[in-house]
Formats: sequence, structure tokens, C-alpha cells
Amino acid sequence: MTGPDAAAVLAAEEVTLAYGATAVVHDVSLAVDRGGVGLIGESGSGKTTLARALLGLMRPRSGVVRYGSRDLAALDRAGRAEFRRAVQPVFQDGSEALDPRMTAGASITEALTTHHRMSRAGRKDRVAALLADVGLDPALAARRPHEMSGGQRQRVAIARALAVEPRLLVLDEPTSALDVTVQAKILDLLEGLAAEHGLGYLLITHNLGVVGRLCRTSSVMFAGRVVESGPTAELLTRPAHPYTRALRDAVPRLGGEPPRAAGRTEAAAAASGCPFLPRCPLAADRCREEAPRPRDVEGRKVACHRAEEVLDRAPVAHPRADASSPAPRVPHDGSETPDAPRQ
Amino acid sequence: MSLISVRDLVVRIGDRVIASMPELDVAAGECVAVVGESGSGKTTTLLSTLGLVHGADVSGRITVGGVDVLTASPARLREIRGSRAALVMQSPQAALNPTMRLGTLMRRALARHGVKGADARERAEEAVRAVLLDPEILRRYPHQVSGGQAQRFAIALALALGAQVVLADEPTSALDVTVQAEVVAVLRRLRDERGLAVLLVSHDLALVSTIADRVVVMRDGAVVETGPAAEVFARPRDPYTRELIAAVPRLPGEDGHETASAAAAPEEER
Amino acid sequence: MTAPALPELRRTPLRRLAGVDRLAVAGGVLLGIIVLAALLAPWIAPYPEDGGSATHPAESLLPPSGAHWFGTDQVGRDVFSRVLFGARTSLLIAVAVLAVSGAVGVVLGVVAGYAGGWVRDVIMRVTDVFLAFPALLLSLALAVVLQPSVTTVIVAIAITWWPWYARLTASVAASVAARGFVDAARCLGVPAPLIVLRHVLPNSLTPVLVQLSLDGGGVILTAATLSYLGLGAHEPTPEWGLMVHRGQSLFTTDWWVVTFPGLAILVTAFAFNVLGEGLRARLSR
Repeated sequence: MTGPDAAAVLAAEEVTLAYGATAVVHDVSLAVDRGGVGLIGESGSGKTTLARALLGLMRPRSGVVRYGSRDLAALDRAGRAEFRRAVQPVFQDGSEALDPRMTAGASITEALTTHHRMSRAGRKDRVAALLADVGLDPALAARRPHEMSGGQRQRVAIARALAVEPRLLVLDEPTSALDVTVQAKILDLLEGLAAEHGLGYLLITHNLGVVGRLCRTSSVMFAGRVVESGPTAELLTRPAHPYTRALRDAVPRLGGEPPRAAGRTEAAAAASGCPFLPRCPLAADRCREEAPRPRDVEGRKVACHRAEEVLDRAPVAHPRADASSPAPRVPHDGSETPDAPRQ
Repeated sequence: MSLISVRDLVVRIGDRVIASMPELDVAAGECVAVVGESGSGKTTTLLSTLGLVHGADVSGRITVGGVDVLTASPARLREIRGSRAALVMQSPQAALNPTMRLGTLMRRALARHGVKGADARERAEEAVRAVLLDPEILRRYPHQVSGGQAQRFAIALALALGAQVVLADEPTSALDVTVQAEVVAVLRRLRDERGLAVLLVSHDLALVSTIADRVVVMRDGAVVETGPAAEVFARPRDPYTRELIAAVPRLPGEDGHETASAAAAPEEER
Repeated sequence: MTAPALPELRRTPLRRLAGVDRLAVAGGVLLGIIVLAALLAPWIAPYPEDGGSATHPAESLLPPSGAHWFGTDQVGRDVFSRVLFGARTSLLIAVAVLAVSGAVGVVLGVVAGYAGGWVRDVIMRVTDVFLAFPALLLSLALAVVLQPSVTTVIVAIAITWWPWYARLTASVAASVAARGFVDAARCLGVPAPLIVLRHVLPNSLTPVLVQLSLDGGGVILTAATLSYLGLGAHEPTPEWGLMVHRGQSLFTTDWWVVTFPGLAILVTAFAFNVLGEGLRARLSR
């Protein structure tokens, strides 16, 4: 067995993923170890497909998904069982992730008994303990998914994932189907559990506020490529890629200026040159001709020819946008506006 | 004058009150947001204003554009829904006939209101531009447009027919942030430039805070707090409002980032 | 939000089946009466021996009367008794065909739907081959090759019937297999056969159950057709199709010989359909 320090628990190395002839993820590399890693992107960016590959639910067309130092596709039976115990998913919607015909207890028991034999009494105790761990009344074990609230279902799904004592969780939009106050509680729970059990996690979301809170480092995906990755706080306060910036500026903030429409969100990714070209306010001739390769810029990796210019104009939290202008352009005059006062 | 006015609205199923709204007014050029979580009665309240609550007992007085909704004839109600009020829903594509180009859809709707030919085309293009869409979209079929575009088209359709009221039910929660921002920009613009009355229902407080003039917070079918948006967000009085505000995720560098999380108690069982 | 074209499987089928729905209940009650009549035939039939090879030449072709409610046939057997005994044959055929074709179709369908890829392709191509033959023609051909009997009818119909269930189950199972809880089970390392048995099969059954009950009527009609053409049950087995066949030439003179078994076929097929429609309406709500 490989020591945890030798390699990341789970890593994608130049992975390309395709459905039929259509590649939806291109040459993506990403490593998840202890602590949280964020993966940010819009629907259609390929983030969920990448998650499926990391969970071993889909084989890469090229590139390698590694569990420790081993290629996931080449694991033997025992290795595969070990991988299954080590890496667990939590999906977006608890009502989808739980079998509608099974009680919460049965779902968790399935996880408990897949790898170990357990006595009936032992199972029952363990189910009760796991439910308590995720802040649920053990009596809920007898309920079916439709008899629970959205937050309860998501807690049951988390309890099931924890049942195999994993080292790492892949969280695919774990809260976006929930009410805001419930979201906050589920995030608290995940944060607490990760710290308590020393879990690593990959958090996939389109919500920048969520990664900002839970992930030290993050990657931003656009059209199947990682366009920027680095420390989350850096990414969100001083984005170096125009897309990261557009995402950040579109987030509505409490008491803040209206979110800024990035313009042309319906435009398809470019087939040649930089994929972000059709939506990019900084597009230059070079971007049309040559797809940017990821390069190191101020502590992060950015795939943009003009990253330095984006950075230079960046340190603005809430630019005063012209509310009626149809599509405010991303880099603006750089005038600094302090955060709006709150509470 | 209020374009939407609600007085003593109570919606009951059997003995259970699922929504009660003592007073709600939305004037021209104003955006009022009803905020709450699932089961708070916010959507029921919105649907009541169009007479769209079925299987429940609705009492009180509701007027939209001067028409009394609860006593109006079915034909009158259809007219309100068709041309006076634009209803924006989470999945607008479902409401668009998939076999018709958007332009055809628009033309037929206008023809029913006696607008035809060049007039109709002009109106259609003008309405589509007003929601920041390219008139080229009129040549497409519903499946060829994104969710955000379909949503904006639904608004344009009502605009072309002369709607003065926009009723938006969680208009952005199924959309990506960048697309959300566009829909919000459109709603703001319609309110500011065309003087539309916007009634917005949402659980997203951050979003609401960027557009609403006034806010009504609902929980379990009842209003717990109401007031000017700036006031409510700056000095929430009700503990539930405070909880909602605390639950909004912050970006790094914003104040309150460290204390943004709500207490880690499990939500109440239902 | 996903909105698959399936009935929402929120509740277990059994619980839903127990729910009250007028149409389903009406169909169920009607079918229950028919089943009861079939089961109790030896006791409630006024002339139980007429269900077999008895003949009463002296009483042939009597019109309906107090003694013979549905009259008597060419060899003097009580038509009412034979219709009651015929219910046994028809229901036996229906149940056997549905059980055999349902089991084969569901097993193949669920495997095809879950496995996907070449497994699905192979199973579906075989299914298509069977579907390419006109069902009745294939049944006819088989019934000719095999000796005419009730078993032949069952085999002949089941062979043309299962591909429909295979196809239906495959499409339902494929969409179930794509759902989150199946992915979750795979991520737990649950072996594929267990995933199919525990998660995919139970969640794919509902539409198939509805289809099966809708098809009960079709099976009875097909069986009657085969028997009518002389390829199924043979004398003296009481079978409705056969009775219609034997009595058709007498329709203008002795209408009761053909009319009552014909009505029995109709009513039973109708009961199955009403039950199926009721279930469908209930489960897709």
C-alpha cells in the first residue's frame, strides 16, 4: 500500500473524457488529498463528467485517473474494493441518490454490509450511530426517502458514504437542491465531519460562496478545460482568467451592487483558438490563433494569454455597474469600490 | 396606484392555512420580493394573484391591474394571465409549444390581440430587444434556446402583449450564476425603464437584495417580517430573517465570511 | 430537475396497488368474479360433467331456459357449465403466457438495460428479430408445427409476447440504471448482479406490471383466435375460442351456442384492460 504522503489520494492526469465521439473534458489534471479542493464551473462545463471518472464510473478516453499511485483502470479486484471503500460520492439530490423503495436504514446497511459481514444487532447500532453522526434522529432509519425532507435525505446520503469509512468524498453540488438555511447546515456538517475524520474532499459546485468557505484550493472549468487553478481566496479576490472573473462578478451579494451580466452566455465555446474567445472581452488576435496553455502566473495556473492584464485590473470587489447597460464588459475602469456595509 | 394589490389573503387546504398575506402592494416601477424557503407559502401567494391556486380555499381580495382576481370570470382571468401579467417560472421551456418557432408563437399571440403584419413583427422585435435578446432568436425552436433565454423570451412575450406586471417564481434557481445575472439585469431594466411592477418570489436573499425595493419574509405560511429591502437586510428584526441572511454564502474577502455559517443544528423534522 | 418519462416511483408498487382507484377496483372486482367462477366451476356449474367429455344427444341445441341458462350445444352439453369451465382454460392460458413471457422479457430486459453496450445490442437485436414476425402469424406457424393443445397455445403465444416486455423493461431499466442511487451503489462496490436485483429490478417493475395486466385481455383473445382456427385446445376441452369456432355455423339458428362463450371472451378481456388502465392511471399520477 502506498503511504498517503507519496501521492494524492485521488488524481486525474491529463484526462480526456468523451461520450461517443464528443469529448466533454479535455486534458484535465486535478489532485485531491486531505482538505478540500473546489471544482467550479457552469452546467455543461464537464465538471460532473470529471467527477464520474474520478469515482470510477467512467473510463477516460486518454489520460489516467490515479488512486494513490495506481491507475484506477488497472486495479485488481482487491485494489478495486479498497478504492470503493476509500472514495465515496455525495450527489446533488438526496431523492435521486437514495433508492425510493428502501428505508434510510436499509440504504445505510447496504453500505455497511457490502465489504464486511455484520451481525444484525451490530448493523442496527452502527446505523443509529451514523445517523446520529449526521445529526439525525436514529428513528429516521425506518423512513423512506419520500417521507423525509430534502435536508434529511442529504444527511442520510452522507451517512451512507461515511458508513464505509472513506478517506475522500466527491461532493457533486451537495447543497444546490436545498433551501438556503438547510444548505448552510449541510455545509457545516460536511466541514465538521471532514475535520473530525481527516477526510479529503472534492467539492463540485457553481456556487463560488460555497467553495470560498470550504476549499483551500480550487480549479475553474470552462468547456471541459481547467482554465484557472490555485488558492481559492486568490482566485476569487484576484482572478487571472476572464472567465473566473465573469463568474465572480455574476455572484449576487447581500446588500451589494447588482450582479454583473457577463454577456453572451449563450455563445458556444470556440472550436479553435481559445475556447473562451466568443465570451471574452479581452479577445485579441493571438487568442483566435492559438489556444492558451496553462502557465504559472502569480501562484496559480492560468490558461489565458492575457492573464497579467486581467490580474492588473482585478482588485475590485464590487464594481459599480451600470444597471441598465445590457452587457457590461468584464475588465472595466478599475475604480475601487469598498464592500457595501452589512448588518 | 398599485398594479398588484393583496388584502387579507388566506389560502387553506382543509383546516390548514398554507399561506396568509394580510397586505401586499406592488406599484408601477417597483420590485417587491417575497422571501422564504420551501413550504413558506411564498409560491402559493404568487399563484393566488393569478387565480392559479387549485384544490385550496382562497379568501381575501386580490386585484391585478384593477381586476378583481377572485371574482373575475374565467375569460377575464385568461386575459390577465395572457396579456397583463408575465409569469416567469423555473422551467419556462415546458410552457413553450415545442413545434413552433418562437417567432410564430409570438405572432399568434399578437394576432389574438389584433396586432398583425409589420406591426406585429416590429412589436415582437422590440419586446425581444427589451429583454436583451437578439431578434434572431425568433427564428429558433424552443429546444434550440437555453433556459435563461427561454425565460427572457417568456417575459418578452408578455411585454409584447402589453403586460405591466411581472410575476417571477424562483426565476433563477435553475440557472448558472452568469445566466442568473442576465435575468436579474433584465428584470431591473424592465422595472426602471418601463415602469413594470415586479413581484419576485425567491429563497435567494443575496439575489433579492440586489433588485428588491421591498421585502416580505414568509415562514410556514405566515409573514414574519416586511419592510424596505435596505432596512430589512441591514437591520433584520425577526430571528428567522437573521438566520436566512446568515445562511448566504460569502465570497472570500467579504465581511462576515468567518461567521457566515448557521448553527449546525439539524433542521426540524417534518 | 430530471423528469424521466416514467411514472414517478415514489411509493412501492404494492402500496400503490392497494390504493383506491375506481377504475382499477372495477377491473379487479370483475376479474376477481371471473377467477372465482373458474375456481368454483366444479361446484357452481349446474352440470359439472358437461365440462368434460359427457354428451347428451337427446338434449342437443336446446334454447336458454330455467334448466339450461345458456342453452345447450350440438351434443347436448350445458353451455353455461362449459363457459364456467372454459374460464379455467382461458385464465390458465393467460396466467401461464404472462408469467413465462413476463419472466423471460423482464430478465433479459433488465440485463440489457443495466449492462448497456454490446450486451444490450445483442439482446435487443434478438428481440427485434422476434418482433419482426407478425405475432399472430408466428403463433400460427408454431401451433401448426406443434400438436394442437393448450400447452401449444401457451408456448406459441409466449414466444411472440416476451419481446415486448424485454423491450419495455430494457428502456425502463436503462433509465433506472442512470439514476443516482444506482451510481451510489456502484461506488459502494456492490456487485453488479446485486445492484440489478436490489435496485434496478424493483424500480423497473411497475410499468411492466401495468403492461402485463393490460395484456391479459390480448392473450385471451389470441388464445381464442388460435383455438378458433383449430390450432389450440381441442374437443372436449372447454375453451371459449373453440366453443365459438364450433358454434359459428349455428349462429343464425341457435345463437346461444356461440354468443355466450363470445361474451365471456369479451368480458374477461375487458376486465383485464380496465384493471390495467386503472393501474396505469394510478401509478403515473
